[in-house]
Amino acid sequence: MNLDELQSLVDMVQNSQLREITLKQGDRRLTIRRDPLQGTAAAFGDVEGLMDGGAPVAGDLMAVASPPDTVSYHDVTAPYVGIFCHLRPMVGMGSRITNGQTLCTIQSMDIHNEVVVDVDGQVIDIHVDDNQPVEFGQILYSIEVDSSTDV
Amino acid sequence: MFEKILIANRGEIAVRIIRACREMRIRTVAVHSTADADSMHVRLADESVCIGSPAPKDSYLHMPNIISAARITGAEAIHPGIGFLSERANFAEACEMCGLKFIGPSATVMDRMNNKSSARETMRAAGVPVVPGTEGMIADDQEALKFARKTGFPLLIKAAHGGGGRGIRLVQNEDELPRQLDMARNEAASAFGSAEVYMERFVEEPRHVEVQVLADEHGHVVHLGERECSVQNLRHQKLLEEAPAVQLTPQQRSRLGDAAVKAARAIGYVNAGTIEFLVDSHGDFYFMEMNKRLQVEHCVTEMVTGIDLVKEQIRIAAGERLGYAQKEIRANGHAIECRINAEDPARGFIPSAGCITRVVLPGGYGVRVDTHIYAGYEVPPFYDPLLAKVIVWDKDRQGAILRMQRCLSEMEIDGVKTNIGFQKRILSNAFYRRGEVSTDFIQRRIISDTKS
Repeated sequence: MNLDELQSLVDMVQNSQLREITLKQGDRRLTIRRDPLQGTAAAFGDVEGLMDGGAPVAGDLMAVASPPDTVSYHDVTAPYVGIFCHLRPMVGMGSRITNGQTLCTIQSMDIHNEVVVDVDGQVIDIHVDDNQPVEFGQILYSIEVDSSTDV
Repeated sequence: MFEKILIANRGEIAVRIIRACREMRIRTVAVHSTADADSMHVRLADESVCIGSPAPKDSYLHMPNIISAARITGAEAIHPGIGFLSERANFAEACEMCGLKFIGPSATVMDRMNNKSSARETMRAAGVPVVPGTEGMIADDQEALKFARKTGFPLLIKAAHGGGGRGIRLVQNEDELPRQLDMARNEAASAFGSAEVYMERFVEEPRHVEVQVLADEHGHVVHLGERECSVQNLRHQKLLEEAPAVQLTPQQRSRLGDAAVKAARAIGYVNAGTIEFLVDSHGDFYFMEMNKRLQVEHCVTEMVTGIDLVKEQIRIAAGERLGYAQKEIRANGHAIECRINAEDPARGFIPSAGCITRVVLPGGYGVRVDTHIYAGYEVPPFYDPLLAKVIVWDKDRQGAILRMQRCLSEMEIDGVKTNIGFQKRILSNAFYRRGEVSTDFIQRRIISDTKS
């Protein structure tokens, strides 16, 4: 992606009813999200990796980012090695979650171990599929943490 | 034969096992902690699974994560390597229950030999000489005193579940016996989870000689000769090993080998194992303990016998027959191994972690280096400080010593402190060169020498 393409994406989010848009390219991710208060779009994620232009461009882009103190993110990682299993019904994209809630289980040696989240917020991404093997530390969910929550 | 094996270990030994697997066309799964993500064993394996955070209990000792890693990758067998889970009977049992082949002896055999006191009893019953000691655990101070008066001082108090030179106390006289007994029990309880201790005669100026055995599932047992492991640091950790042992007569050598085979048969041992003996100044030997796994110093046996012990372990675990008889096994020439550790000899051998900025390894005829390090490798502070094993072979001991000296003078490791210089001092020591070594060699001939 080059700077023009990124700019047009930002414009698109700005001028649409979209709240946010997430792009994935390999294992890199870019999220452009509208600040609900000011209506401006902000880019998060591994911008450098997505850009052809490299570092100077990324520097400009970071300046575009809206006040970071209002939004924070939390990755839920696998605490065990095993098979990732969704709950029924599953905790899906956009689900509201609360501290202490079980998100999924990881099956290890025939035991389903619950994965519990320790923040309040909203699921903005799920990185694994049902019945997928996962290793320790692998990112399972990305959570947008409620601003009132202390992380 | 297996198609895929998981290696439940790290460092040079994981690399060693992966290499054997690759040559056998067996696919490999490395497991690693978060601290070892960039480690050599992870690079060399076909697949890798992160099994936890750096502390060993959270990763390399975490049985559910390791077994789960084998499950999700479809590995059929687990090689436990050295240390970590290699001698945990419950791990071998868990593997069996999960349908995974544990490359090592059965849980039952491990259980019996893990308790040093019951191991002694088993060996005594099988006719293998043991150091005179208490029969079973010491019940009370009275019993200890009775044994002490009968046997004479100095004596050793040993933790029934101790190992690696830990959990041993030396008692010089009757006055200090009750206090030492108390301390030994407390130590054993906190370090090994059991306060059980036993006592035995202290063999003075002993040499540590061990015999390698291989046993298949079809009742064939052979020994691959002995290794001399008397050069140990003050914590009884081996520093330099060689094969064959120095100063043994052919008769003593064959008696040792026979005793080791007898010991392995007595317990129905299967796979590779080592019987450790103490050899006193008269050449009499006593069973010390059995290592139910591969050993760090297995390489010197490989160099003189030409038998790849790791491949044999895998073949045996797959149910194959040994396929050769005792008389076909011959020790040819002499091999020496130096363990190169990340530690500071000037400061009590404390481990030295950090980034290795530069490495120059020795090479040439008759030289083997088993290592996982590379320039840029970060030595994590959580594990064993072993960086590399330099192993040399030559026609005789004299030639092997010269070759090892040549190798160590070529070797350079920058970024962490190592014991290379200390190893050079051992090799140039006149007593060592004459083969006059006992387990107190470092204390008597190297450290005392520095102080005077």
